[in-house]
Amino acid sequence: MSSRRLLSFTLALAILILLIALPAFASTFIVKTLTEVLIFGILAMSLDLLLGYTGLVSFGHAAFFGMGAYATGYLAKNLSPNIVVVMPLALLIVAAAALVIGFFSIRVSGVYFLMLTLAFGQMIYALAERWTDVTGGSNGLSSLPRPLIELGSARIEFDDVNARYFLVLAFFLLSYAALWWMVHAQFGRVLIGIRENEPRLRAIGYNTSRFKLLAFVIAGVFAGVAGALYAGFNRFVSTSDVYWTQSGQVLIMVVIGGAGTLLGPVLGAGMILILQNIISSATERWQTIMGLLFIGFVFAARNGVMGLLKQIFQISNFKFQIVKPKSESEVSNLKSKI
Amino acid sequence: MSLDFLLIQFLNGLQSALLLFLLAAGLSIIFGMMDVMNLAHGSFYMLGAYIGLSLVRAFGNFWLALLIAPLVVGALGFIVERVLLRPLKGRGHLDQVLLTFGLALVALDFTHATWGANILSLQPPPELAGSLPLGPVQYPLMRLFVIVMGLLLAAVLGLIVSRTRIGAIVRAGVADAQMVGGLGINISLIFSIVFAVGAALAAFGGVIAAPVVGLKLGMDAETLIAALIVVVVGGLGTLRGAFWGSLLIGEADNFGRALLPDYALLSVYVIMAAILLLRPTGLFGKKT
Amino acid sequence: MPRADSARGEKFPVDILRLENLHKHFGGIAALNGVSLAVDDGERRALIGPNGAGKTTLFNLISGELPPTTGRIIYRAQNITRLPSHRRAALGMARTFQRNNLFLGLSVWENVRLAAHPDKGAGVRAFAAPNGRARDLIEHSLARVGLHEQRDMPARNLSYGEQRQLELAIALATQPNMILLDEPAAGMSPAETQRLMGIVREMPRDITLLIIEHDMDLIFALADRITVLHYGEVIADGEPYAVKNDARVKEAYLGT
Repeated sequence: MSSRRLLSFTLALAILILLIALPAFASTFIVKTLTEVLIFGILAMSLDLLLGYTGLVSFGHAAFFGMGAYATGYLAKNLSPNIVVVMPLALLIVAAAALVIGFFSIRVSGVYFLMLTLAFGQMIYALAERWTDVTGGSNGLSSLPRPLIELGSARIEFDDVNARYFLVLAFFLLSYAALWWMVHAQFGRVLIGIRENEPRLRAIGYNTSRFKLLAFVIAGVFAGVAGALYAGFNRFVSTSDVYWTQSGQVLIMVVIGGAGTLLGPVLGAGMILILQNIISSATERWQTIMGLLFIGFVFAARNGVMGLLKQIFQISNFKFQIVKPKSESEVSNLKSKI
Repeated sequence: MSLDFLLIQFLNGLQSALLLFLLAAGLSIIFGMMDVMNLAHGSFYMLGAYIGLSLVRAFGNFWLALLIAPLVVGALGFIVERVLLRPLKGRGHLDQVLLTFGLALVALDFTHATWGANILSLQPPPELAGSLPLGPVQYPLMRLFVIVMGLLLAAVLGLIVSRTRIGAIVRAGVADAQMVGGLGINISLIFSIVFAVGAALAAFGGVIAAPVVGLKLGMDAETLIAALIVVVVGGLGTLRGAFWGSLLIGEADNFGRALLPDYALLSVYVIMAAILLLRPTGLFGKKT
Repeated sequence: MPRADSARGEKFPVDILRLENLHKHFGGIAALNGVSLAVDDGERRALIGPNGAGKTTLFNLISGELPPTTGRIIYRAQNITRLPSHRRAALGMARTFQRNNLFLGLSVWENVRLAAHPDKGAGVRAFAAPNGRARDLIEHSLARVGLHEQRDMPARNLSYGEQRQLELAIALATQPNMILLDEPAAGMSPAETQRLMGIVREMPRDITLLIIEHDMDLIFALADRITVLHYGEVIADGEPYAVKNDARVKEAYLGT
């Protein structure tokens, strides 16, 4: 077991070094693409807290991403491009919205939850379309200032592609660490418990509604982080960033990567974005192809990339598995069936 | 505020409510009976409208378009159910949702490629071009036609579900799909038919809506969301819920836009939130 | 087992649970038809009756899974009729389920950890690791049901009998005053039933037990009193041997 831990640790360290060293040798295009992947990786991880861990299928997650982006964009233009000022404010707005939307949505479960999050998500979209003073309506918010960090006399400007990449990478690592800690703490076990058997969890005394609401708000806030970074990176926010197709796409990133893990959704985000880049440079009808790919995916590889990796991993660790003898009752049950 | 104004707003609300009903009825029954959440339902509506437009352009006859477009889209729905949804049976809602979302993307892109991104309009047929004096006000015939067709279809659907054999099977299917499967009825064919009829109804709504509200690319999601809200408000799986939910939402939306244009968006969501607090399963939904 | 706080340790000299004229209708069908009964603190009460008598429905009302149509439920001198199930659990009521109802993807230890955790309301402590006392509680509960060695195994991999033992450990780890046991021995082999009987008998005497069970040997070995339910009504209530010889009970079980 310890050799396995050593292996994963080495692997993680290698990836980290690679990520940090990347701008030194990679092209601007690659750095830009990777920045985008990391941003959507945060978004996908945050959705997975609901989908993979808690078992809540949210179809309105783009709302929080978009709100984070709009709030950051608006504040950067009208208040200050300083992340230290803008980010907390933007996240506060997102958290408040997630609290309200979550309050209503978690009252129901299953498909109802999906329908509600979708409906509320589209409400935010419609708001973005109509509240033109703040959002710029269908023109969007454009030519946003470049992000900077100013704390006392220290001042860092993120003017070039590499600098913004490091900013995003830092936030990605922080988000990953925070989410990793949460899902491995008692909190995460409770969320898994909700997914597996909510009535039982209530029966042993858990106020599961509050856990679900908390998970919803946390997921919303991290989606807001992704949105805020996106506003700084893309320097343009439009209504398509809050549209339901965006929510659907994140959902697919999570499922393709593998729900219920943190890195799976990041891989999923990478795959979808890179595929999209390739396909959209080849044909104007890339949406059709993406749609067909999603349909094909549902039929082909339901457990996601992480599921596939896990399978391979488990097979290689076959010798560690202990085969438990069947209990007497199981044996007698079997006998009675025969 | 004059009485004329109120009357016109009420009729406008009724008209959009009945359009909504054509979508919500299908969405709700398909879910109640087959446990399928169809995110491509708005796409059937949009395709109906655009195909109707092409048919009118080709043959110059609205009535022909109104007959053929729903048939085409109904056949499409039949195929979707048979080929794509059937194999997913028992795989849970997430897969259906991803699949029908993929379909919605394809439908949207197809519409974009075929008819372009501009907002298009469709002239009402000459028979419905004018307006009719209705008490103190003049009301467009086309909108009246939508109201009449909506009420007529609601009545027909209600009769089918409550009085016919296939309706009895649908009702039984909503109550307990497994049991119906055990009765020796060819339930899989009935599933396909119900899905196809749902798609055709949505397309029918699209064709009669086109002269009133025009055609644009986002109409699929817009109506899908409105229909979802209707279903949340009315309760899943009931025709009555779809009907009264549509009326409530259609009127609320319309009066919201007319009276408080700045907060038009809110009226519908406030109602939905209130219903959720008071009756989480909707007005006519099964109590848990 | 040590009690978490003094309030829980208080004795209720009269009854810990009192049901007053409970009715439950499903549509037009009455599953429970005016059930009244009282369980003394520390008592071990068996609830028996033919299939369909309403036993599990009664459990669902007591634990808050379902609301009663009419009637009152008094638990530790408090009216809990409309309280959600998680609040009842916080008052010291635990239950096991007829069918295994575990968190199959989590390990044995994590299953019990969920039950033993002090913060069940999504507060700050929900993010903390279990403290020393919680750890003791987990170990203690696992030891009581004899699942110490399987602690790191996923609950999914346990044998059926072990899963039922884990159910008990989860219930114990909530530090209850009272446990509702819904057919704890259902589906067990005779040897597994023996083991379970030993575990239940060894439970602290200050935990009140209400047990639904069909296995008469088990009932006579464990119960202080027996309540018999038939068609949603209590038809007998008393000492085991008195109930066994009650004419109405015999009729309910034998007469069709």
